[in-house]
Amino acid sequence: MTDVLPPGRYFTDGNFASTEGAILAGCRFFAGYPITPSSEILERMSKRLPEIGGHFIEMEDEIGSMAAIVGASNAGMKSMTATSGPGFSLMQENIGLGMITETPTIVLDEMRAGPSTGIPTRVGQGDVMQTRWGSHGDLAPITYSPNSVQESFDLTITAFNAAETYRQPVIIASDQVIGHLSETLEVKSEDEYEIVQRQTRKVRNGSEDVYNYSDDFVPMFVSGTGFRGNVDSLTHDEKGYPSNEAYVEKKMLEHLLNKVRKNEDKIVKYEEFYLDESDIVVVAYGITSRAAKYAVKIARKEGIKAGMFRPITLWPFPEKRITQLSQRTKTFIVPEINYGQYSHSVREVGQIETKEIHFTPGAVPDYKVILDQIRRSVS
Amino acid sequence: MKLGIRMYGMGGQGIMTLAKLVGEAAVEDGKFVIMTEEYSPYITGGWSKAELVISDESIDYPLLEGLDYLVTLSQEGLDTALDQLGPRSHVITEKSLVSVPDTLKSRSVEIPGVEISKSLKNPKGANIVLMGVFSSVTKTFSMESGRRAITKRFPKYVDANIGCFERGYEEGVKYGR
Repeated sequence: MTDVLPPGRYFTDGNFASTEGAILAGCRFFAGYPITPSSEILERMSKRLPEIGGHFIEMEDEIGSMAAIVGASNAGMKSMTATSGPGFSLMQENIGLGMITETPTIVLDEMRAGPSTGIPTRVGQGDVMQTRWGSHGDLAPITYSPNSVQESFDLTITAFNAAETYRQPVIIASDQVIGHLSETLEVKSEDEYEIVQRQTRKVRNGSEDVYNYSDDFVPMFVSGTGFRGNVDSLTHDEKGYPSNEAYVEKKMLEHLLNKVRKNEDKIVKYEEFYLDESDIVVVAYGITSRAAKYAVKIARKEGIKAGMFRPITLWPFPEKRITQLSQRTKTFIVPEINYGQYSHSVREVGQIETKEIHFTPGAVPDYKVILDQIRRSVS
Repeated sequence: MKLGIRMYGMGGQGIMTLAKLVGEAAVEDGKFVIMTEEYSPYITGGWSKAELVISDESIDYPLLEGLDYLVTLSQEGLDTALDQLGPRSHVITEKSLVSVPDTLKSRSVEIPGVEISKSLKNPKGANIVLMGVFSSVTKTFSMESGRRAITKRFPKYVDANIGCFERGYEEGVKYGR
């Protein structure tokens, strides 16, 4: 087999697609700890990476996995891990490490029923807020939410590009159903994909700063190539040296947040469906959006003015668009496989009637429940 | 065309392989296919179930809305589906392992896949016999695409499996649907 998946049409599952998307994006280091339902990613990486000059490590746990991918990225490799809820919880501290050290890497969290070990083989969407607020301190995370096998491939590439561009860990919040369902995957030839390559700095004699807080895009240096730099989890100045000073914290932190906030228009992605003159807008993501879209199609056939908005980036929150939509629609309906998470942000930003639908983790949402809520909202 | 299909068997009978081959062949023919899987927690001997939606158009909702075809290699597969089988549902079974109630006989294709695969010296190929039956009965994919999917999946055992597939196809044709 060549380094990347040959172009063509495949009938395959989300885990396969995520793995191959990562490899096409340039991932050559994977560290992980097996956990259902994401284990097939780790399994395939263990086979594929050694074949193509990459590295695979099965770690002792998810804390180590996250540390390893942050380390590998600082050593110049595009790196990734994949996990599910319990492992994602363990990774939080080192996700923060990746954030403060401005280290590009990818964490794929395949959500399953929780809390704790919950139901390993069944779907949930209970980690959505954890992808936003899971690691302590102020963060501006970027989280993608694929809703198909095709997007498991395409968005993994997008996520790697965002990680390299904004120099931070990027999260892919997939779910058990998307990971395990099989459907068509169309793969183009390698040169048709836009891949952001790692920008690195030439070796100098030591005085150049590691960071630059007045510039959103600062090329990394590669450890072990002669650049004398300091990478620290403590609040640090532009040389990378730890500091106890509030003014250094302010400068560093505002840089970390602003490099994402200022570029939200470039980062935020969404899909819209039937939003012309819709009184009711269903806001749904991941596998739930598939049920929602089907429900909206049926509602439209019944003459109900319903539409769907699907955030592809859960975070940054698509604030501008939700604000615009709230000015011309009456009701948001937010179905999720949890007891109300993303709905809070939709309500906070939209400031209009926002109805929640809580699907209990463990099954694909029933589209009829969403359809019923749409019908009730009209009458 | 939009069909809801369930394939059911016990661990080791090759139900997932059968479902994936059907999906691959249908995709090859330009169909849209979505497949979900479910297993009992046992590695072998427990049930395994694949559900497919095959459609001419892209598929939003991944679950079955009705059961058009049930393919089962175990009695449990039929028994657990009885209340979901409607007047237009059809059943394809392994004859030696599943007994079909009289009320369902007219909508059933009972195939001695185990016996046929043994006679073709491919004793593990009962699932592939049923794949052939499925192809000719449902017309969801062509014989050629079926052959290609098998060739891709079993490069070392192409002939033995294509033999089972073609024989199954002929058996399905006999039912004249």
